[in-house]
Amino acid sequence: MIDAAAGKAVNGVELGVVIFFFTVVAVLGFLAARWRRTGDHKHIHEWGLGGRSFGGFVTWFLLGGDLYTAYTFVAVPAALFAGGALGFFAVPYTILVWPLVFIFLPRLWSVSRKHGYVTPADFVKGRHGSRSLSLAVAVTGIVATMPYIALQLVGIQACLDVMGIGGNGSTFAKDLPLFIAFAVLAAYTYTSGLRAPALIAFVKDALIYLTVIVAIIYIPTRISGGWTHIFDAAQTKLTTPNPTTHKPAGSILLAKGNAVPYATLAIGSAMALFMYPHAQVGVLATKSRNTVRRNLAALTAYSLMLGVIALLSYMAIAAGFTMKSLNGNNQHAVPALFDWAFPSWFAGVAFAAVAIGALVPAAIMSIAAANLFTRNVWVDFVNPNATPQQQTQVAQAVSLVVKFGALAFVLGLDATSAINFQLLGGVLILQTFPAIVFGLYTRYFHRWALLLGWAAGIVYGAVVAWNQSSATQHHFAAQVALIPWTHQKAYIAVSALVVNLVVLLVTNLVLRAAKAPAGIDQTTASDYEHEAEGEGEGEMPEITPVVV
Amino acid sequence: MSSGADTPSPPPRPATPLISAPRVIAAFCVVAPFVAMLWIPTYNEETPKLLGFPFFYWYQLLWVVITALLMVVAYFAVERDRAARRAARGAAGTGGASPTTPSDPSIPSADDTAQDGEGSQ
Repeated sequence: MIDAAAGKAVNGVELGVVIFFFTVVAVLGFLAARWRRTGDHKHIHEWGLGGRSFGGFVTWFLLGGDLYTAYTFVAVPAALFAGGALGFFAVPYTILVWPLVFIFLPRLWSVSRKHGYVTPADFVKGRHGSRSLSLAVAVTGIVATMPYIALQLVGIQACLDVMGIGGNGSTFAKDLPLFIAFAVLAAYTYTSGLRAPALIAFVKDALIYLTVIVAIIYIPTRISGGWTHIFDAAQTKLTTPNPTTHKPAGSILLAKGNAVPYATLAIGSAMALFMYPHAQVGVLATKSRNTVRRNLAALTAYSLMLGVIALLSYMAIAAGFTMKSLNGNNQHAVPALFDWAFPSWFAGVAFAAVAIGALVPAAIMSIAAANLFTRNVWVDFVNPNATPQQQTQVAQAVSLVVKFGALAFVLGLDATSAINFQLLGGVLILQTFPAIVFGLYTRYFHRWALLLGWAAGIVYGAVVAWNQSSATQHHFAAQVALIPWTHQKAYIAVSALVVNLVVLLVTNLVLRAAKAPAGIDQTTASDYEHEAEGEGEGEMPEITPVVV
Repeated sequence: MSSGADTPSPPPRPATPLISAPRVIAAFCVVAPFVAMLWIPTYNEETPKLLGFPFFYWYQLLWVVITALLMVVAYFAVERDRAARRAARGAAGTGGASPTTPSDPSIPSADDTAQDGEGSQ
């Protein structure tokens, strides 16, 4: 009942609808430069944080645009399609994100607003008085963001493949549509900064909600037996032993020994998320301390949507898709299901939703990485006297470079398990957690101990991840590995964080005992409670490049 | 975890106590999702089913909704606590007797209470 997508003719209706929405979004992206303009557009506050003017409504869309991405639509369903229940960790992950946000982000917001911090590395430098620690946080942020952007491009590519464009022919023809989408993205990000993805996020979310609601109501009616049959079919397929390995792929429940990987993937991902520069941009761009907290209940709607989308993968199994009919790429599971279940015009809407849902976060991520580079590498180490205008120019250029870095990732690495891209980013970025989050509460930890802990965590995580091999991949094949000296597997990010913390605690005791010089703390206790309202609405702190 | 302690009844003319009822409530709301989601043996089950969904799936999706409600409660609890503390500080300030000022680092924030909750994970 399922045609192999290989050699399939291009579906003109689908393509037309996608191009239509893509054009709308591109026009919006360029017009966004004029939206809610509050000051000098050349200033990095304007380009990189949208003038820090976003209220609850825009923030809801912006954070959603941040967090629910091709990861949701392509990578997570692919993980469930291939391995069953373990991939569902994304649901507890996106549940646990919200209490974590509730706990520490208001403090980060307050201190950042008070001191004009634009990036997490700005905060680390101000708090711990250490340029090297700030550089470590900045570089980690930039590097960890690249595979996450790459994941977005993989998502777009999956849709294009299923539509029948790309996939065949020369490398150039195959990837040409991706390049075009990419060039438009790069151009409007360059001109409009953060306002572009904030405005486009409205379109994106509207399309995604429409698609998800229709999918969840309509597709089960196309599959006889409804949800009971969907889960039964998934269980049958997942537990059937693979003819070559003689092992089942998984189960719709967690197998013995998978509880710890499930829990560590969930908590590790949740703790990592708001260490990403792009997630913090969404928060720092809000206009009051409580905007995000007030929005948390509404933001959980995204988590519900993610859970539902994840289950589309089981629908794909029940509809008869196999790895073979997906051309050996389980990333195609959801796009292929849409293609099969929906009339062409609506499949086009759904593909547009996925593609735009990937472009928005890719834009936000590249802006965030650009902010990081500019403020914490360029200004700190290259040109301390750069004017805000020059900073904006550098940030614009870097936003392009970062996207090309991500593109190289997609073209260069095996993209059949895109969730690994995001999880690899998590392994790296989670190592900045102590410097940022502990720093919000205490200066007990010495700056050098934080740096040593970070280095130990990064080295451990990178080496272990590099050593994971599979039949198709020699390196980075899995992000769950044995905890040393045990037979229990866990998410590498969490094991690495434990290494990080042990090194941090031990070296901290030594450094404190040796009375190593602590850095200068720019902040005071009350800064962490600062509220813009009490200090004159809309007051904008001066950005002065801080050289310590 | 500090939220496990009894809420002390406020003394007659108080400096607001470190642990107040709203803070305990907020800490509970923030900690509960972690306990529920990380305690996997409690929900790695096929039954009871709901609308064809195995327990494993509908239980976790239900927790999305529960967490949303907990976040609303926690928000109002923290707001209430902040308002109460601000009022207490104001009253103490006019009396001129309180040693505490808003910038006193010994005044813990609502976030500190919540942090205790996170630490228990």
